[in-house]
Amino acid sequence: MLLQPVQPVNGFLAYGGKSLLAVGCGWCGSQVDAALVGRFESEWTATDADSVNARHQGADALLHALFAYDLSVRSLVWEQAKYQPQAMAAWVLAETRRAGVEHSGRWFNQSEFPTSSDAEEENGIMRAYRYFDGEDRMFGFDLTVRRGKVAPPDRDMLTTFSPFHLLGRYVDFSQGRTIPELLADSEHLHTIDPDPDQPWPGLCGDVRLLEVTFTLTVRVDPAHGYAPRTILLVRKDFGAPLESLETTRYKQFDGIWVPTAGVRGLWTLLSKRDRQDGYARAVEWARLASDLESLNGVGGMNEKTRTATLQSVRRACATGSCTGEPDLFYHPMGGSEQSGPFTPEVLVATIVSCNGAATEWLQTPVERWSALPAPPTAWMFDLFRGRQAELSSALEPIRFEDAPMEKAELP
Amino acid sequence: MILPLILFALLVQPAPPQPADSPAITDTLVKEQRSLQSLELVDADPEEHGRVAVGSRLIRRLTFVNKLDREVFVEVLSTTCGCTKASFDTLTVGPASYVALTAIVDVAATPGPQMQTVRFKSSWNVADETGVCAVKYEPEIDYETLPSMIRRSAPAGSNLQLNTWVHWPGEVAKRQRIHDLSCSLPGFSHGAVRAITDGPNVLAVQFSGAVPPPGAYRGDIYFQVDPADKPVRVPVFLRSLAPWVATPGGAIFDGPLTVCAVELKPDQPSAQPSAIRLRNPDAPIRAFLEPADAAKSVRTLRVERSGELTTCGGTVIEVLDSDGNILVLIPVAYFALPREP
Repeated sequence: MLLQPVQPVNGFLAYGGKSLLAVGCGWCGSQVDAALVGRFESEWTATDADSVNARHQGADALLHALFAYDLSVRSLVWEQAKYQPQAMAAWVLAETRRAGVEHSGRWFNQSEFPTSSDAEEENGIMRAYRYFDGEDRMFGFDLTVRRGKVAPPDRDMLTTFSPFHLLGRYVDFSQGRTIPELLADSEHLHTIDPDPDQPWPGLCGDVRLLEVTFTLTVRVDPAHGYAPRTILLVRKDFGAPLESLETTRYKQFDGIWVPTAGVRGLWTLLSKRDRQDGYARAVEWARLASDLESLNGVGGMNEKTRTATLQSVRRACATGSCTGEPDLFYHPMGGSEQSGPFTPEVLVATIVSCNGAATEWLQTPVERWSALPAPPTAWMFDLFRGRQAELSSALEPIRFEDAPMEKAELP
Repeated sequence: MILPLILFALLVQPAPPQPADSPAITDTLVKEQRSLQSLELVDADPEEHGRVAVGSRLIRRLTFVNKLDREVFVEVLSTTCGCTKASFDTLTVGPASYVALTAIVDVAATPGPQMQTVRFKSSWNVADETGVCAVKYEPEIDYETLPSMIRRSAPAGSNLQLNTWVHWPGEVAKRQRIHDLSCSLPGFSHGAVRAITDGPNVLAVQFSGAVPPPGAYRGDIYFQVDPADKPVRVPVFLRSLAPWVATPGGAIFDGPLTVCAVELKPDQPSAQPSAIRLRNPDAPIRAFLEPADAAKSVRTLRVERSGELTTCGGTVIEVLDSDGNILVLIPVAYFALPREP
C-alpha cells in the first residue's frame, strides 16, 4: 500500500495541542542585563511543584515569543559579504552577493567569488545568478562563462551563509521547518538559563533531521524582539556539534529586528585512530585558531559588533573529542594541508528591505533575465525539457499536453 | 603501454603564495606544454571509460618519473567533484624516481558524458607547476527523475499542481511506462501523466489539489517507472500560507506594555476578517478586531493583557472569516512581571 497517513507537521497548527512542558528553568523579563540573572534566580523559589509548573509556562512563553518573531520576518532582500579563514591565520573575502527570499518560496541571488579554476575568466572572479520561481524551476546562470541550467532548486541558498541562516530558516535542511516549529516538534523541550558568556534565555530540545537525533539549543534575545541570538545543533549520539549560528548585530526595520552580522560554525568528524595525520593537522589548526580572533581582513563592524564576533568566533573554533564516541574528534569543517579549515564563517550584511515590496528581481525575473549580459550564443541546459535551449526559450513557461501513447494503447 | 600523453592535459599556472618557511620562488612558470618540466608521464591507465554502471568505481593510475636533478614535492590540489578522490603514493620524489597518482571516481547518476579532473602540483626549490589529469565516462542511466523532493509554499485554499519529471536521455518518452501513481497529501490523490510540448523525452507526473488550511504538511508522491521494480518516491513538504499576514507576527507582553496593535492585511484575495478565537481561553489575554475602514484594506487587531501578569505562557489568536476559515494566526507570549520587593 503506497498511501500513507498524512498529518500536519507538528508545527504551528499542531503545537497548540501538544505538551511542550518539560523540566527546565523558567524565565521571565525583557532586559538582558546583570539584574536578569538575579531576578531569574529569585523568581523561582516557590514550592517544587509551583516551580516546575512555572518553568513549563516559561518554555511555553518563550516558544510563543519565538513564533511571534519568526512570523514577523516574511521576506528579506539584502547584500552581504562572507569571510572565511585562510590557514587559520587571516580572513579572506570568500564571496559577496545580493539576495532575496520571499515567503512564497521565490528567491534570487547574484554572487561574485574568486576562483582558482583553470578557466581564466574575468581575472579569477566568477559571477553567478540564480532565481527560483517558487514552484518547480530554478534558473541558474554563470555570468562569467555565460552558460546556465534550468533545474530544481539546488542547495546554494541552504549552504551559503546568510541572514536567513541567522533566522534559523535553514537549520532543518530536510523539511524546511522553522526554529519554533522544530522546537514545538521536539522532545525533552526545556528552557535554559542565561549565563555570563551568553546572557540570553533559551530553549533546548531533541529534534529529528533525516533520521538522526540532534539536540537543538536556541537562545533568544528579548532586547531584539525575541529573535534567535544563538542556535546550536549537536548530534546527540556522538555528542558532536554540527552547526552553530550566532547573530552579533541587528538592525530594526519597521519595528522588526533583523540580523545583519553573525558567525557560523560548521564541524566535521574524524577518527583519531584511523586518521592520525588528519588528527595531528586538526590539532595544529586548532592551536593556530586564536590568530583568527584579531579579525584581520573583516570590515564593516563597529567595536561592539567586533567584540561580539570575536567571542563567537572563539566558540565556533572549538575542537575536541566527542563525548559519545571518544575516538571521534570534531574540528572546524574543511581544510587541506595548506589552506586549513574554511570555517567558521563571518557574515556582514546590509538589509535592503524587510517585508517590503519585492525587488525587481523577484517581481519581473524574466525581464531581468533578458537584461543579463549574455550574448545570443548563450545557452542553458533545461532539465525540464530534457534538452539544451537558448536563453530566451528556456525562460518560456512549460506547456503540457496529453502524453503520447503507443499504438496498442490507442482506442 | 603506449604513453597516452595526448590524454594528459597540462596547464601550468602561477603558484599561490607560499608559507614563510618555504623555499623562495624565483621563477613562476606560465606556459603550456605537453609534459611538465619536472615530471614525465611514463605510464597511464586509459582516460576514457565509456559507459559505466551507476555506483561503480573507476580508478585511473598514472606513473611519472622525476626528470630533474633534484627532489620534487607533489600534492593534489583539487578535484572537480566530491565523487572524486586522488592521492600520490609518495609526496617526495627523488631524481629519476617514480611517483604514482591514483584518481578514484564513484559514478553518480548524472546523465550524459562526464569528465572529472584532478589538479596537482609539483614543486622544487626554485619553481612549481600544475598538472591536470582527467577521467571520462558516461553513466548508464535508463531514466532520471527530478526533483528528489518537493518543497512548496502556497496560499491556503488555492489550487496547486505538484510536478515530478521523468527524463529518458536520448529516447522519446511513452506514457505507459509510468503507472501506479499515488500521492499521500490530503486532497491531492488524483494524478496524471502529461507530456511536455517541446521536450519529447520528458514526462511529468502531476497531482492537483486544493491547498489545505494554514500549516505545514508532508506526504509522498509515488509512481512506478518500467522496467524498474521499485516505485519512485518523492517526499513533498507543503507550507500552506495564511491568506492574511500580520505585522508584527505576534504579540509579546514582557513589561509595562498592556496593549499591542497588530496590523492585518490581505496577502492574497480573500474574505474579510469577521471573528477571532483564542485557543487558550484561560490566558490573561483579550483581543478585539477594530472596525473595518472602507478606505483601507488593512485591519487592526488590538491585543490586551488583562491585569498584572503573574504567570508566563502563550496562546494563539485565530482570525477567522465569516465561514470560520482561518485567515491568520497570531501567537501571543506573556511573561510574569517582576514582583515588587
